[in-house]
Amino acid sequence: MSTRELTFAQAIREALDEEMSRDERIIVLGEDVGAWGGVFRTTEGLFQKYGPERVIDTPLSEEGFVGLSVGAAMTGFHPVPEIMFGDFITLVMDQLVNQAAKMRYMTGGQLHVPLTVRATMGGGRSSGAQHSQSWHAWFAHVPGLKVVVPSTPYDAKGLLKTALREPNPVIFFEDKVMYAKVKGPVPEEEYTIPFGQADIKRVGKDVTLIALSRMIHLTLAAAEKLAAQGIEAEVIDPRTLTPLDETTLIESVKKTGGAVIVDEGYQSFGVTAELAATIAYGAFDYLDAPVERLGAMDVPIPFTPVLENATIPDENKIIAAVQRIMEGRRGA
Amino acid sequence: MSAGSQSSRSGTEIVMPRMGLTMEEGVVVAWLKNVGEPVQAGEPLVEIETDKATVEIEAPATGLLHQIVGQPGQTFPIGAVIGYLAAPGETISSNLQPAPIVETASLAAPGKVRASPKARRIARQQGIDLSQVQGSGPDGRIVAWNVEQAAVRLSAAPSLVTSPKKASPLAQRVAEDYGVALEQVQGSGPGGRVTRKDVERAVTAPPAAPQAPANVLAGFTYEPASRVQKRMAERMVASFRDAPHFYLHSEADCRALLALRKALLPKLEERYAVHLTITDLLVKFCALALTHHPQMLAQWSGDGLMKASAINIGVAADTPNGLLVPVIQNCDQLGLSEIARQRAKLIEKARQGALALSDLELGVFTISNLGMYQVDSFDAILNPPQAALLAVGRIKERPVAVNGQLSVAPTMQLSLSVDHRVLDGASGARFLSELVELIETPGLTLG
Amino acid sequence: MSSPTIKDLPLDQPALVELYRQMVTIRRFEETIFEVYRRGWMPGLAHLSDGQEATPVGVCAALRPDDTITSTHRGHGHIIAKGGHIGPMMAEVMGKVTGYCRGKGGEMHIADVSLGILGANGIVGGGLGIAAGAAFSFKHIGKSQVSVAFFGDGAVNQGIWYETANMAVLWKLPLIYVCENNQYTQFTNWRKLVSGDGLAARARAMGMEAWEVDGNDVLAVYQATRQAVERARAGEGPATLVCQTIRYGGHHVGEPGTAYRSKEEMAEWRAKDCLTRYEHVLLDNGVINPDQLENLRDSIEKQLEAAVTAAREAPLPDVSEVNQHVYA
Repeated sequence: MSTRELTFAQAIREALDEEMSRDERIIVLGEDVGAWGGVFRTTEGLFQKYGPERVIDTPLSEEGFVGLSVGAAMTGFHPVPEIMFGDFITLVMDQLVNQAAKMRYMTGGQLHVPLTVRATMGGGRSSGAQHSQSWHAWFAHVPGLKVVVPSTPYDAKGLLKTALREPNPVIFFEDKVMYAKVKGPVPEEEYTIPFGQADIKRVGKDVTLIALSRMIHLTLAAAEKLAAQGIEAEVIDPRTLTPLDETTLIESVKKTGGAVIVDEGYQSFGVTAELAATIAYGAFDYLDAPVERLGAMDVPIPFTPVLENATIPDENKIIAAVQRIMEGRRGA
Repeated sequence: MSAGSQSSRSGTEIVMPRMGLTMEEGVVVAWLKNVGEPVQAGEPLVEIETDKATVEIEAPATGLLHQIVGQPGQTFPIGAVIGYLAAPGETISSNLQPAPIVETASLAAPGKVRASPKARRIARQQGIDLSQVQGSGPDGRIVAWNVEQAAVRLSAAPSLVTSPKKASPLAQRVAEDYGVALEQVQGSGPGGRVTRKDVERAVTAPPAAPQAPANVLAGFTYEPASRVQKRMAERMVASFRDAPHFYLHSEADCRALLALRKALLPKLEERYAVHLTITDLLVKFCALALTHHPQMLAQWSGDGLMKASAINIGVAADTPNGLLVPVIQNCDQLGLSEIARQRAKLIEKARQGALALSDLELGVFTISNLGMYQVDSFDAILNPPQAALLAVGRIKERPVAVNGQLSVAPTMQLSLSVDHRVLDGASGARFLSELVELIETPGLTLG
Repeated sequence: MSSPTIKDLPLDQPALVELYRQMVTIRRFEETIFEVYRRGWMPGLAHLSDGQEATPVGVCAALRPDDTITSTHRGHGHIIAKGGHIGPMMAEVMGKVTGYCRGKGGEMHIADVSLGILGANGIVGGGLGIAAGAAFSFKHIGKSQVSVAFFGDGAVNQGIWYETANMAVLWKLPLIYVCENNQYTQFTNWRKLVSGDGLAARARAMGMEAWEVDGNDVLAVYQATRQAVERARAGEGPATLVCQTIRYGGHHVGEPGTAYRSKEEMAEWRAKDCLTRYEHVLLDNGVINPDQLENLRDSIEKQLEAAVTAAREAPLPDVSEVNQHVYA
């Protein structure tokens, strides 16, 4: 079995290419995804290979082309519209929430909507408040959608291939910084990763750290620093929010007695709250300290780096949260 | 407030009312009416005391006070019947027995003790009273580890019967250890229960009335010993008398040790803000050697051996109250920086006379280092009930023979005191040999 | 565009009668729903389209069975005209498991995919994206089908209309926009809400063919739709029909529609009633005689009675299916 190193963007591109070869119903739509190859190079070369019938440069009409994608999905295609900055997903809320998510249910099962919406997330690039948000929590709150948030090239390729074979609407979130900055091994052989399966990225016994997307890398780095202090952290990546692998999270916290959840969505009423509640319920009698949550600060994301960095979780905040959990838990 | 219950053929019940969220029981203080006296609904009828206040309870109905069930001073759980009212002319048969609370060492009410869910579960499963456990978590929260330690301690103390004297088994044992009469200890727990903290307070308090001996010779003044000192004296006598001591001596070449300390000292300072000492390194080496020689951790116990598994090493410390031996728990699981940190903290507490009794417990091996003084070596008295103790002197340049040539190297003299009831010479020697090997070649600690 | 005569149109006698049958069925269906609502035999509300029958019937007469439509919250007419059966429609309105959507959609969300009905939609303009998507599919992988989007005067101001129209023109999608202007966006007259010269002008400005049609003249609607459909099948792109019509009822059942519409206005519209007009056309041209009309109406009554009875007797869905059909 051979493996090479791909960037996050390359892994996504490869998944699209392989699935488009395999299934001629898959079409890609979005702004500058075709001739330009995509603002983040994730669709590079696809236009040249599959032509303008399958890789479509749309006008700047998010609601329009996502709505069109919903209709096309209902009538024979598997469209993959791209939302260039996840912040713009606000423009397509009706198409995703009231149309795509509900078509199957409202028609009593007559219709299904094989649709994969690719959206970006994540700040840290001084892109400002309207180009840095992470909205994956919103869609996990909508029955009828599936939400995928990969953190590594390996996970991204395997999960995107699954999404492109999924007969239901999937929202697939890709962190912008990771596109070029995160590299990882990706097998050449065919593989897919099923939804609803969390990945234990580091085994430990003293505390459970749960993180998504780019936060996984910060969390792993924090875990190494904690190990030098004699604290062995277990790091888990849920990978998909809907469906969620609750069992892996709960079993881990039953083992360790403490948990920190790290996410780049806003802290209040988001991913960290939902996972904290899941853990508090499922591992109640095994908690030795309150569950800690680290989300993005509840302020619009600032432009200037010193302020922006203050709003996003970082290694130090993770380490401090773990130390709060570990206080007095073994030896003074 | 009224405390009535539905009336049946037996008249109107007067029950112990729930007057607060965390209230579980109340004490009858005084009845404000006599049996046979008429009572109006809403009139104050009986005084009840909770752990927070004394409250007047009103009559639930109009009638005659027919029977008093709860006598003053008796404790009842909420909802229990403490008396009956009868309507005028009504005859009641009351063959219900009063049911005051029997004092048992029950599990603490959830509202009174701060403990994590995991700690509560373990306590439930092991039948441990949380009110008797000291918490090491934030704001004194009891965490699982505290309950696990309590379980270890309690399992070592066979007498776990519930005390009629309203003191937990733990408090009883600590009181026994320090020769404190429980009856003389003021209880601060629920219902006047004596807690371990209460006993600790009594133990560390200065003696009430110093009893000077009859004749004090000229040139002498008399100072009464504190409880702790007296206890220490008694134990030293017992140790020296009961445990047949023998001593093993060795001299270790410290060149590698000093080089290691020199290299690590600035790094540990920088990374973890801890100051590395020779004692810290010795604790680390002893911990490793003890894992390989667990027989050193056994203790003589009447007609058997008590075998310890947790490697808790005590470090002898000089305090304003004399010699005390604070303990670092689970040394084999701690990194060097963590050992240094804990040692520094404990020694600081010792210097300030601020060591708690919990700092001094559960040790299974002791290190006494007089190397900061002009002491080359010494033979120390075992710290009962431990079977081994390491005494080290100063590191000093001494003449050594290397390949038949006279040379000079820094060396340290070690003395291992051993309880001959538990260990023989060879066992002790094996341990000491490994320890010296580790000191001379610290890299061996890597495994 | 002026009203065509029968001779101008390729409709034989059965086809002409069929137009009438469908319009009467819609009219009576809506009036029956009103009774069903008043008697408390259905949950929720209904949005009735009596008075508007000519537009959906005229449009669908120009479509093939494999063409698709998307409908609105006021969609019973579209569904019946496209071939929907009143039995399962009635059952869906009453929330029974024998309904088109097993009671899960309700009267605003009826769909029959086998008939090319891609769902009625409760969001104004909600069907526009879907219809554009279907047109996209037909252009790329279909067999020259067309996609029709029904919508009202309210949707004329929804951004999605302009976004999809832009793409439809750019990519020459076989999409036909049919605006049923029943004069009122809920409780407000459309003239107060639509700027400029109205939808047909806007459609032309975006590069699309657009026709204004008398929505109560079923043959005129049919003729205009035929033209649009032929162009679309030939790959010439989208078109817009703006059909002027009226709803007799209020916005929904229980709302009489009299607070914002005058008696005179309504009397004028009743005088142009699409059913009455078409009856005259059929009788005057000898397509049908009064007895046949009577028989037709009777048989429709019987069908409706049977539908109501069957729906009332049908079971509700079992609660255990509440979380089925969320995902495929």
